[in-house]
Amino acid sequence: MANLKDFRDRISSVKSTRKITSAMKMVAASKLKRAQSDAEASQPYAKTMADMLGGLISNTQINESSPKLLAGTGANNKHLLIVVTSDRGLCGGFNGYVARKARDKARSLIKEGKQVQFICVGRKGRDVLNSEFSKEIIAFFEGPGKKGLSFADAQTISDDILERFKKEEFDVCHLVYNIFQSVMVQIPSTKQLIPFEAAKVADNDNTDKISKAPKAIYEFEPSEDEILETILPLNVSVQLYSILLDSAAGEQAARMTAMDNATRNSDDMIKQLELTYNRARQAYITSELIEIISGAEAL
Amino acid sequence: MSENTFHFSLVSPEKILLSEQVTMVTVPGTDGEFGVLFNHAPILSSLKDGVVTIVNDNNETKRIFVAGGFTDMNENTCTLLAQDAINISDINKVKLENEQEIILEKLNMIENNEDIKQNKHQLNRQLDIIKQKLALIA
Repeated sequence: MANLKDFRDRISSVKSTRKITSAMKMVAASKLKRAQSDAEASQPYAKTMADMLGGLISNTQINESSPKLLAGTGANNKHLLIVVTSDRGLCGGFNGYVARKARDKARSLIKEGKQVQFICVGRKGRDVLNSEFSKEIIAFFEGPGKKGLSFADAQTISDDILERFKKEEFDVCHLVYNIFQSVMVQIPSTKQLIPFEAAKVADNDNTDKISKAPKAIYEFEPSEDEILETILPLNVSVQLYSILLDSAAGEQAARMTAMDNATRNSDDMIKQLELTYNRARQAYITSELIEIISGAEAL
Repeated sequence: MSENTFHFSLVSPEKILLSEQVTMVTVPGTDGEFGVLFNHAPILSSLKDGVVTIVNDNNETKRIFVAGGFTDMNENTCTLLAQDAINISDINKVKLENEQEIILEKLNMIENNEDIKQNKHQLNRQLDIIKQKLALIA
């Protein structure tokens, strides 16, 4: 009976899907470990940098002569959104949430009469945004994918951003990305990259840092301003770098969770299908028996 | 063991390279090399490429090449942020020469092909760092 063969084919196709998803889950799990330790290893640098900058800025008066990366351009018209997603799909809502967040932000900015531009890091984000904002995407970089992400990669991106800032292509720059909260939870969020927000630093730091910062009377070598000039662009790269690593870890975690769910779903599906298949098979046998018996009785 | 030690950590974007109690650190500041001892006044300095000398509390000396960065000394904790750092004894000539060749090739490609939008000054900088490393072991 063709019906039974159909069932068998279905079952074997679901089984092979399950094989793929469970393999992907295991691959993601091992990549996650690596990505997580990379992300953790980058934390001390980013944190020290933020502390230094925080201390430096708490001692400085922001005025017109301050570096633009700190004080801003004075305008608030042109916004740049850097959307950090992954290159590959099959990782649940990971990319979708970020892209949606970026889109919502862009729409509300446009509603306020602001100009919006995008830089996409990661193929998936670009693909989603392309439908609505294809003209506004001014640059694209490959996401923190297969090969390990080095600081130089982050620098290439941040150099591009800083170059555009120098040419005054935008006034304010936000990052839209996933925070790696835990394996189960990645929170899509935004963060202001340019101009540098000192308030955020104070927020993240614990009380001991706040009490420490004003106490220190620093000597600066060379001058405070010159240090600011060099440290601010570097800070952009560092922040970007740690966010890219965070996002890479989040991607693997999201994929692992998604594939785990998929594997479990296909388990359920196989069970259901096998039940129906057996029922159909039994029904077929029974009806065949009935045919034989009634055939014998008719004699 | 001397009493007058302070904590020193050397951090690169990728990882913490060193974190230990030390008695003295000499760093290549932008305005000139300077040493940091116990109870040094709070100082924040940018660095140029050069060699950091670290003397730990067992009187062992380490020499580490750092490429640019910052150092921060405050309340007897000294932190050095370096974009690139390598222990001089770990510098591998063959490996560096290979890297140098790759970068030179890339630069060549950029010269010949205007379409490739690669960061030229970043490559030049990498080349510069490699040359400095090579000079250190020459």
